[in-house]
Amino acid sequence: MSADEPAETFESVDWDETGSRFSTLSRRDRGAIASLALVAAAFGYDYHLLSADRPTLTWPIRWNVTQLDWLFIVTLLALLFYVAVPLYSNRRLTAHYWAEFRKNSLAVVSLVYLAAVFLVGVVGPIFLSKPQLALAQSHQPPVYTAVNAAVPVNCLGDVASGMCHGTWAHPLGTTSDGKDVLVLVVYGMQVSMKVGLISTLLVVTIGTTVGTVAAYAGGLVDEVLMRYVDVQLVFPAFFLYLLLNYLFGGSLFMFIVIFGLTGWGSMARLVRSEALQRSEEAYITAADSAGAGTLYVIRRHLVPNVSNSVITAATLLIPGFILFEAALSFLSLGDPTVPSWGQVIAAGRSDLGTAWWVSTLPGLFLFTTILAFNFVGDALRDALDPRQET
Amino acid sequence: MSMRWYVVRRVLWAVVATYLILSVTWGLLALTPNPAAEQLQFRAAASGGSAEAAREAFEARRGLDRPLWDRYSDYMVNMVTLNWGWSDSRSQPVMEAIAGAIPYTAVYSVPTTILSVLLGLSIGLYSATHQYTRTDYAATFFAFFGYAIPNFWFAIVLLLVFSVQLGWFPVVFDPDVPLVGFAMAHQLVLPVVVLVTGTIAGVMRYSRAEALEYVQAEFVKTAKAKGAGEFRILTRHVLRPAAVPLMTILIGDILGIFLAASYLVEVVFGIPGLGQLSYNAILAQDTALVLGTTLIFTFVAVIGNLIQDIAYTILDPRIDYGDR
Amino acid sequence: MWLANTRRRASSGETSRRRDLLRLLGAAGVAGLAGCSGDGGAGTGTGTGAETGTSAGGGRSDQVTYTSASSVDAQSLNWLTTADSTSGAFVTATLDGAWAIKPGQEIFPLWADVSTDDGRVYEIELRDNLRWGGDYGQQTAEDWVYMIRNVFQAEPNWSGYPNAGDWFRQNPDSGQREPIPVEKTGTYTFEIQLFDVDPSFPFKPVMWRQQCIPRALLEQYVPEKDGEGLRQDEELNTLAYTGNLGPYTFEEWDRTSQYVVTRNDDYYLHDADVPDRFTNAPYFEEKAFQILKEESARLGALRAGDVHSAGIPPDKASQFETLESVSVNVTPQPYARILVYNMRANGWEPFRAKAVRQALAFAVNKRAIVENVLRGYAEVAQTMQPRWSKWYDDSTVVEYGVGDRYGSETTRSRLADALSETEYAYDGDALVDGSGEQVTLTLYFDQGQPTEQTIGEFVAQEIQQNAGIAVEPKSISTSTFQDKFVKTSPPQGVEPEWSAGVFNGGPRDVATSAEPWDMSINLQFNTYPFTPASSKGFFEKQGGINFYGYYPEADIAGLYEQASQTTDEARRQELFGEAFGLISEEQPFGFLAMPSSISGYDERVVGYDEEFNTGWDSQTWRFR
Repeated sequence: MSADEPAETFESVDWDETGSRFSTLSRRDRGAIASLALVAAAFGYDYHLLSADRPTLTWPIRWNVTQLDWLFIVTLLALLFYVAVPLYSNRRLTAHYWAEFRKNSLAVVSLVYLAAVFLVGVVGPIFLSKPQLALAQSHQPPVYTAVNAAVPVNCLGDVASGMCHGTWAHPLGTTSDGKDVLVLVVYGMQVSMKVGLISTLLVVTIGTTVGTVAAYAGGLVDEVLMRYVDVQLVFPAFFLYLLLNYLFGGSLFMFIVIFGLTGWGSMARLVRSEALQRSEEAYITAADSAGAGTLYVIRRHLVPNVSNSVITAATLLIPGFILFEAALSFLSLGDPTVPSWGQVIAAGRSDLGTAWWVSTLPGLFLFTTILAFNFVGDALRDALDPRQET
Repeated sequence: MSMRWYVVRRVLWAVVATYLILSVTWGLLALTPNPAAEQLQFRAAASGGSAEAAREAFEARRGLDRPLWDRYSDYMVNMVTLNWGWSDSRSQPVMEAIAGAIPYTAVYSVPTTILSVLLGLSIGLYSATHQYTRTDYAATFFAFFGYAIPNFWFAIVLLLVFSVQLGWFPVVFDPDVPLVGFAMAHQLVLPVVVLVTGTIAGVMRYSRAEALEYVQAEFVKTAKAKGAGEFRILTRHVLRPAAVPLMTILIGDILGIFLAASYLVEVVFGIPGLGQLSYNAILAQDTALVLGTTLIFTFVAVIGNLIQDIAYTILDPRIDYGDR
Repeated sequence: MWLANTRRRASSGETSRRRDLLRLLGAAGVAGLAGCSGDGGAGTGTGTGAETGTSAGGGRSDQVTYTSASSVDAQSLNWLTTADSTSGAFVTATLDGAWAIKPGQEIFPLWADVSTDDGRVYEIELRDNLRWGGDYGQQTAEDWVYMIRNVFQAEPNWSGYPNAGDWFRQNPDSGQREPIPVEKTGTYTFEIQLFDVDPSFPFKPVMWRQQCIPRALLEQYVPEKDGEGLRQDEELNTLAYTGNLGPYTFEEWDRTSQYVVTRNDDYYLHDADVPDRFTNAPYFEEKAFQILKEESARLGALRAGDVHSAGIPPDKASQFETLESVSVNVTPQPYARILVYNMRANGWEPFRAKAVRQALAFAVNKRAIVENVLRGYAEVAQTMQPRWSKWYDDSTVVEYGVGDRYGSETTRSRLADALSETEYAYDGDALVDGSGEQVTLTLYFDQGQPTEQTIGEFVAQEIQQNAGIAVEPKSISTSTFQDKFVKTSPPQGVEPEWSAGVFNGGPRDVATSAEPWDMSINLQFNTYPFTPASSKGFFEKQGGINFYGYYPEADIAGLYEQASQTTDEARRQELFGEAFGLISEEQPFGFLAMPSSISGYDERVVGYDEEFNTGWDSQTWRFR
């Protein structure tokens, strides 16, 4: 905005804005674009200049950044610039939402839990080495529990009256391969966050864009976009995944890309119907008649006004993706070398009778995470819904 | 533009959409190497035979030795003429395979749908009228419980506990018992429990959101002031206005419930329904059967979307189907 | 994997309806009763439920239906169109086939006996009491010869018969692959005239358990070459022509659920000159196969007594061994778990040296795989033949990966020696390449096979620890592996010197797979203990299955050829013994283990044995 213009009239400002797109970008947008460019540059360096099996970073930690990691970094940046920064800069509004949100104490607990899972998931794998195969230590029970001594190959803890007791060496026990369940759970946190957040980011970005454009542009654009959405909504994406799985083998990256890129149909419909109501409202008509450009209206007026519904829907999408990944693991369609919760649950399911912890403990984390997302999502809806002023 | 013209246009589009999806599905199938064929070739080569001959035999058996276009047009003509062809992985006509599977799917999904709508609705209404109370939390927790627990894992645990350990229910599904009868109901208890707990949350969330809108409405406050009982307020003043939008949202969902989420449960409990049918067809790359089942799923989904759209336009007078 | 699938065959199946009823009453009436059908119920039962009064477990099954659980369903009952083992098992219950092979490799005539004077011309003699169902009358040599000539040997293969290749052989006179001549010599006799001497012919799956179809039925389709009609024929798909030819008769097939056959009261073996147990067979009124995809459900059904038999994975076997109601039967199998090295241009080049492969064989503890992963339900593999086979010669086989022929020190010193002429060398513990980076190799395993994954990760760990090579285990689907790794072809436009089919598209420097790879354990190889010469293609430079680019140093294929044409049994044994010794020494691939097949049977079922191919006389199995 040309703020130093002394005699600023409504009209002159608007013409400026439609003329130069970049000047209309807020500081936040510029920050986001700059950091995105930085990530892209780093990715280009890693992808083109470093050989595939050479790690990207050797200091401070040895880290070969995968495609998935790059996407995750982008997602985290998006979260930072479009959730954290706005919350911080609009402190008054944040305080109001928080007051609403706080009414639901279960949701507050859930939020704390999710934050913990997120932090441990992002940081934990840096400090814990990958789960290792240790056949001699298979099926150790969790600490403070005991199983029939015949279940583990060798019992690491105390054996008393035919029962093998768990030890602190493996607080949550070990799998049939002797992998530590706690380590698997921590790695699984990261995998779940990746699955949930990256796919949701894709869905939100594409869905919001398509929805608002369709609603505001109307006419042929709307018709084409929405009819495409019709097809995509009924398109069996699972089928596509299955076939690509045949062709290239299952991977988490493929899961995220396929379901992220085909799963935005309902989001687009939701955003469109919301935006349709908004675009009938006075401020849009005002901006229109003042000659604001299409993109400007969409970005500055429509998107912010549908963001409440989008955020709520997104919170509820995340657990859906996490659960779906688990279901695919059950069908052995995932990548078994990725330690996701779903993989551990699926691998341990036939041991439920003897080694209940292998499947149950990661299952508990999956369960509580999904539950927490749901509580947070519902509380957000209640807090953000302007229709309901209590 | 009239409502009728709008519906006609949408139905026509539904046909086009279905055709597009079938074509894409067919194309994907044609692109993918068939694991069975590869396996036969390898086995032939491993025992000193000719891999080439094994492939030719397989293609002859599956009718894959004809040009792509011929195969495509054959399938599409078959789809239209309702002669859906022969399922190679089950060696029976596709129509027969689908007709055989539908009853088993219906027999558990009808009770599932009824129960989850009833329970979901009640919990949603209760939760809306008792917001932020301890019982609200308990009810919400119950509704989300089934959603948050992985379906397949829950099913296996129930099977191990109630069928294998306690012996209350049969471990093995018997398809020969009458479809409507005690024996069938008995062996379907566990699958229905798993599916109902899994789907309550969705229904509950919608009904809660809709009801919340009316709970604070002036007419509800008036009724309360006039001393109407809680139950009366709930049924007469909240449920009634909320019912219309709720139903429209639910229609789409009910159709979804009818079809989705059922495969995993069918596998664990060994129910020979549509879920297993379609999934196995894909695994076996049984083109005719995949297209047949895809057509059914697509059709149901397209109709569901259509009903929802029409409902939206009718319910929100601000949106008119004229130019949108 | 395919061979694994074969073993995961239709082992078992379904529930007895009466039992469900009893259980149902128990649940509806007295809740406490339900406990007795729990897992400990069999030993403490009172026998109330059994009609025959001989039941050991309270309310377990009624002794009429034998049910086995299977993880997969059949594809068709029309055996001309199937190649999967489940379909085969379903059909075999109603059609015995030509002959069976007893343990100890002896022919047991079912429909027919086989005899030969010179090991080249085989005479097949049918029994004279074989009747087709419907109006098809007597089964005669006419039916066989017509079917073999017009369906099996038809060119092109219009019916798509998957095993047609078995009926063609190389004719040394013309150098071409030609149909094997088959002549009718009497009403009940016909001759198969091979081009070369082949003493193991009766043990090949050509005529072993081969089934037949009435001529009159085939005549509807043969003249027009109507493959579609044949595939969809009502009688073929409902086994309506089986007459007295099998122990059971088709009853119903509820796809993805169950397959049921009932006792055939005029089974042809009733008035045949066979051991007594066959003349009253079968002993089950009804036999059912229950399809249960989910392993937990299958094992749960076995535990609860809903099925009488089911396959058990190795890590669950010990749980079932403690159950009184189930007995665990372990039978050795001929499928070898193999670590394949890619010796083609897109693999790790040092694998081409025999010394390198031998050194790596010191790195992997085979005993640990057998004991810790397969829980003792396996044999260590050393060559392309199981130890229990009569072709295995202890004195020639060189053992690796066991005892003091396993270890870090030996591996490193041998590998260092073997690589002394190359850029690779040890830097401390790690094997590094010319630029000083540690050697990293990939190891592929099949996605969705937990046991295989564990073996893969274990092998990777062993090679990493003992040889200092970093190994990256990766999962891949069966079909992708086959398409992108096993199929090898020269680059576009390059004409190789020779080609041996899709899996061996030319010399190893020219033809490669689409994707690079170093090691894989995706495939299990059949070692063919009945007909050892069948694995010849694995050990020939130009073998049709040599996708890994192995160039043998010794003439293994020559030995095979010599052995397979020797009619003198002792001499054959000697020649094969020598060949398998050479194979163990050359290490064309790393031999790891031969897993056994583990089945759980209801303790009242008797008849099975702890031997390979124990199901050969399954029509005589019965309840105790």
